[in-house]
Amino acid sequence: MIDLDELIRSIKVSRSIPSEEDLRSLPYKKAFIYGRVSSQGQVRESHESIMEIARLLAIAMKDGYHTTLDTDEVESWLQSIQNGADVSRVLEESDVIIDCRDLGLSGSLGEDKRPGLHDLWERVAGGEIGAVYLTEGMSRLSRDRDRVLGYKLLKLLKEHKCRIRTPEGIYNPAIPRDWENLADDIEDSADEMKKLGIRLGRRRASKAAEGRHVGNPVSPGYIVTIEGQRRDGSYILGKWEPYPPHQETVIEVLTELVRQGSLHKAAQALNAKRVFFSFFPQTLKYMETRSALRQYLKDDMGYRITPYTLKGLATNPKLIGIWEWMDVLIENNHPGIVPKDLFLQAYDIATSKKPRGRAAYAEPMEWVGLLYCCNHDEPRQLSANNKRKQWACNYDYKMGRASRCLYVNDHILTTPLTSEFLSCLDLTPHAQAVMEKLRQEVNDHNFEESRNRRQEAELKSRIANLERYLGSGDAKREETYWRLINEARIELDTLQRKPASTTSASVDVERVAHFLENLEGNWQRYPSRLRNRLLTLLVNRVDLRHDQNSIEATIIWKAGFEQRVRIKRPTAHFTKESQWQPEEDKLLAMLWPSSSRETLAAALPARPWAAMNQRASRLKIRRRWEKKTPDLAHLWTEEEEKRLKELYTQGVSVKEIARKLGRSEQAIKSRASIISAPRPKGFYPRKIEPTWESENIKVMQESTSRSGRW
Amino acid sequence: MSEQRITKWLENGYPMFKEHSGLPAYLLPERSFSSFVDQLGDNRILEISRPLNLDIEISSHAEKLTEADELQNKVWHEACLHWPLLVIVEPVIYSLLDACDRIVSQFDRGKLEVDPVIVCRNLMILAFAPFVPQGRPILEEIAAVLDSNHTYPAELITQFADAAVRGDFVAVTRVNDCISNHQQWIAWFGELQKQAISFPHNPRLIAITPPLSDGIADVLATMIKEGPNDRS
Repeated sequence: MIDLDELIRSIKVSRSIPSEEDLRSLPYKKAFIYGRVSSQGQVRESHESIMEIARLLAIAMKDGYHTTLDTDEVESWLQSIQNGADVSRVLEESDVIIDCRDLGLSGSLGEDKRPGLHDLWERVAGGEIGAVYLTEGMSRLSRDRDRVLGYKLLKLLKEHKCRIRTPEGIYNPAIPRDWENLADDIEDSADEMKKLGIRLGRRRASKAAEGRHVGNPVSPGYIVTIEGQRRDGSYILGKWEPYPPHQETVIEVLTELVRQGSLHKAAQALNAKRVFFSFFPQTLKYMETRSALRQYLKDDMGYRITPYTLKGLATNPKLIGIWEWMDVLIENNHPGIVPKDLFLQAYDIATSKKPRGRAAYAEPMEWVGLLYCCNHDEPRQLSANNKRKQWACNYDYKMGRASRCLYVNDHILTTPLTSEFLSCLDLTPHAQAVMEKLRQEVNDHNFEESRNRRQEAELKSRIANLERYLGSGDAKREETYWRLINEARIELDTLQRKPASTTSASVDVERVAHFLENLEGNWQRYPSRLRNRLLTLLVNRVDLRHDQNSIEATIIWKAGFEQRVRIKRPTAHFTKESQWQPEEDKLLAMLWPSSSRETLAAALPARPWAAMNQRASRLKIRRRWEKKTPDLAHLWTEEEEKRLKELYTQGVSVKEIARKLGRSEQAIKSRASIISAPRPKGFYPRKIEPTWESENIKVMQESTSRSGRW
Repeated sequence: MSEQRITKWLENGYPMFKEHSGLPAYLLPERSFSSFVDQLGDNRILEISRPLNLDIEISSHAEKLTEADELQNKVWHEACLHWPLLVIVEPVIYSLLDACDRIVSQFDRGKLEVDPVIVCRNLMILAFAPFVPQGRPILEEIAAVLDSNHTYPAELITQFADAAVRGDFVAVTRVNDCISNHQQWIAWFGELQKQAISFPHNPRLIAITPPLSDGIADVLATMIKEGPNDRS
């Protein structure tokens, strides 16, 4: 029978912490011999380092791991790997696995790029491995400069009680002292890498300062010459040299950009003309990975040109021989491949921030800069989306706290504000002063001139815009553009020849008073930039407090008066019937990728095209990309335009016009927009109108303060 | 009354009346008042005042009016100084505006439960009655109905508006019954309504005229110069 002392001793033994000796004991599970050197050169040349791996096998066997693998056999296997023979790089037999797949791979690479390390990771995590055999310390496993991978590995090994065996000894990360040693290894490796990085950086910098290739992508139009080959097989590269086939393409590309005046249009024209960078021939195969063209989109013919790559070319000073690396800037470092004038013109276009097209004529939205959202700790200015005609409070969104707290259509917000503001504004007492101002300007001969100047500027801008389209190479198109340019020029000429009218007689108080009295009625007909100027002069700000159903706006006048407008937000018709049903989603998912628009319209008759588009976007379904090339043969003639204008103005449906003119509906819409064909009044359904109530706060305040007296 | 003497007299005196009554400049502005009385003319003013027998008094007063502005101003000044009811002008107007705001807002939302025409008539009578001797009996009766004091007409207006807003049919009907007993007031409102319906303009009750700065003058001048954008 067991006595009490024996019992206590046995409890103590069962509860005691295992000794360090126990924790380092081998054999334990399987042994994984991991071999890695940093470069292929080392694989070929560092015979000693490679043979260390075979010596690790001997150590493992000595540690008690059973395997039939023989050291000599492994040495000859390693020798064949060194000689570049096509042999399997993993040996596995009984308790021992030898993995040399990472020979020649840098320790700074992650486990996703090192198959050997990845396998080790998987096996350790799976509890299969008991000891990892390394020729040196942790530096074989990781040389991560950020130390992340090293510590992750160490933690993994600790969790699975895995030992690390080197010729120097056995370490177990679960033992604090061993952890410290191994962690020191990781730190040292990282420091080494950092120092190496600095050394390499210095070497690169000194090479770059001499204008020599330092490994950065070679610009299109150039190749980098091979000056020799190192013992490890890597190339010694020299300076950049022009590569004539690509040089011609670069010149053609930049010329097109200058002609079109727009990155987007130039890229479109180049694609239509099938201009691209050809592939490198076999003799220059090494350039495929060294040229910046590797970042370009590729197709069967070569590297394609996009607005993005076009911008890269037009803003790359290396094309005119300027070497640029960090803060190094050397002129005439290498031969330029583009005439400087052409490059500068292209550079101007590519870096121009001047708005073009519609944006050039966009005027600010009314009340811009005056609206503040007061649903936050401090009032936050609303952002105006001029294109969509919407207002948004982006504060929460920008701060990453929540979605936008306010997103509202312009007319819902500004129509009530403008209406209430104008209903209280009375500028008629200033008629005399305004008239004096005008009279003064008439005396300075600039009354009618101002209007003429504006019209002149508009016409000049139109002519300049049309001139940009010239040079497309298509005779019919050119003819149309020239016709439009001539019309605009005649108009401009007539305007410029117009004699200065004597208008002093027309400036009288009645006219000014009439203008001021009818300001409210004519408000919308004045340019929004002027309306906004006046608003900014009269209104301090508008504070908005809102919820889902209503917006309470307080217009604070500079004169001290306050108006409160309560706007009821119109609610959308999210009825059950109008929601997308699962079967509709299924149908859309099936048809959307490849079916025609007509098929989709027939399959989902209750859904307009825009709704389908939006739903498909939400469901993340894409339409199969169809390459559209401009149909140069199908240009609009004058007769067609005239007919289109006539039908469009009469209110004939787009579908019907498309049928009559034999064109697509989109073509009809686009052309109608270009020729400014109007629809008859009341053609479009009315927008959802806002409803609101107003309250003139100052009046109410005064009333309240006096109500006690009476 | 082709000379429009009453109109001119009212136009001349209104600025002084406003000044003495303490109404702010932006409330019931002079321009609006002038255009309002101009549009009405002497004849219509007399027509409105006839049911209360005020037309005779006004006519005789107009006969005595002198052309000289200075003298008219003096008369107005004296009248304002000695008119005991001047002090109730401001509270009555504020009370009326407040009542209108609340009732119109409820009407717009479709929540006004009482007849808007009756409410409008009663409010107009309550607002005008304190200023004429003929108004005292009707005010006394209404004050009794609303359990109030006829010497505080602003309060009467507020109490009546409260009753209308909360849909108190009993109070509104009783006030209406009081008014129905005074045919001259019914006729007065009928005339006022007739003129209001035929009135071509909507005069501003509130008109803010910010002080003129170079910037404002410049923008307004530019707007006149450039003209409205006819393309839009």
